[in-house]
Amino acid sequence: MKSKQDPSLDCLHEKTAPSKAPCLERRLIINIGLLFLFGALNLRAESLKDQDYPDFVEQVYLTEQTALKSVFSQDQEIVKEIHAFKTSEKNRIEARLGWILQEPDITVYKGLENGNIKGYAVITEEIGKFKPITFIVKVSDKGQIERVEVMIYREPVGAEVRRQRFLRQFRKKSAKDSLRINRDILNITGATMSVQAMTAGIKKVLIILDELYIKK
Amino acid sequence: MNKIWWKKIHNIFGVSSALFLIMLLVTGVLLNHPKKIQGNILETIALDPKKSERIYCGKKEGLYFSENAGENWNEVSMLYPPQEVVDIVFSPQDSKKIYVLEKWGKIIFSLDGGKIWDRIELPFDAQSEGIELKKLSIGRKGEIALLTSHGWILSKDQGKKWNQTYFDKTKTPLMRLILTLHNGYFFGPAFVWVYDFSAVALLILIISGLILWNISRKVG
Repeated sequence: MKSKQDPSLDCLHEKTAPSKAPCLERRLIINIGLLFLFGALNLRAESLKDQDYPDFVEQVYLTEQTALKSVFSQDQEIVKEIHAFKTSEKNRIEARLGWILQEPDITVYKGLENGNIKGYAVITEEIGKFKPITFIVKVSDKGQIERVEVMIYREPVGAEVRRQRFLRQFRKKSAKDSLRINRDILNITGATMSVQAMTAGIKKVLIILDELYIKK
Repeated sequence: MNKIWWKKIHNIFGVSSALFLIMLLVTGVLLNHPKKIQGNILETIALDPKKSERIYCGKKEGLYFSENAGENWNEVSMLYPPQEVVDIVFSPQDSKKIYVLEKWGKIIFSLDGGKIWDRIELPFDAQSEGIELKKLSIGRKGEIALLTSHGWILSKDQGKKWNQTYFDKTKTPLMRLILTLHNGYFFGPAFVWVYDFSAVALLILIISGLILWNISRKVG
């Protein structure tokens, strides 16, 4: 009976003499081990590749026109205004941001209905890990965020920031909110830099709009 | 007789080391996720050299200051709140110039006593390249010396150009290599979860081993 058994199962039977035939269990262990090692080395290679930041993939989700159409209602007239910061404005904004303002101006899109301003939108960019993220922020005439949409994402990782689950968190936030990550805004594991950039960019827009248009 | 003796020895050492192994596994998993257990701990502290009641402290999340020698603390409000602040340095020439170092980030600085801040770019990305930023020193003419896990760099023009003679980012320190192999970060952040899974599997093996041993003892 024993001699007719599959030799690969020899090691499973205690009383069977040791066989040179490869044992099923042993093969399984070796295969799992190799898989584990291969996976580990692959991850290591990926992390090294990431250090050289070669995978620059520009993903355009919305153009300027489509972004503006999606945030303003059809019956609103969109008026573009480029506002150059005066020194006094720059100083006030910097004091509220606690951060230096690099931009010399801001482009604001106003949504008008019968000549009355119904909301503002700003298309802005903020550096994520290495490349800028372009996004649009739509704010109501009272200074509360109505919508945020990622328009262009340029990095190989962290694109989760364009998901509505993340962007929805900013709705109804205003310049009064501190927008602290892990307190007001939930972080996304693996996309921390993009989350920081988006949050900072949105806060900057809120404060600038509040200082230039809403507070008045 | 000999076999029974060895079995007893095996059982005694097996059961007694199992308790330590459980402790090692649980603490190992917790140590691999320090942010979840540490909270917002204090990392560094610095007194204003001109006004010692004014104190800055760096925490895991954010920079804080006190105007009354530590009785009350407020967070320094800024657009990019610093993470894991490991060093705060005042300029020896002007105490309104404050420099703050993030462990895995950048140097941020203020020239007006902490009201408005900006960043100094480094010639590498500390986080993705695994370079730990350790200590900062500011010279009389605004020179910046930065000590990292891979050597030190020097700038004489507020971080516009860096002298990297004593810095080599390609060389991984042996201790860091061992540490990252031990916690799984060597293979990438996702691999830490594989280590956690292995630890949980080992924990189940220990517990099931103890149960089996107890059952066989009762049957025997």
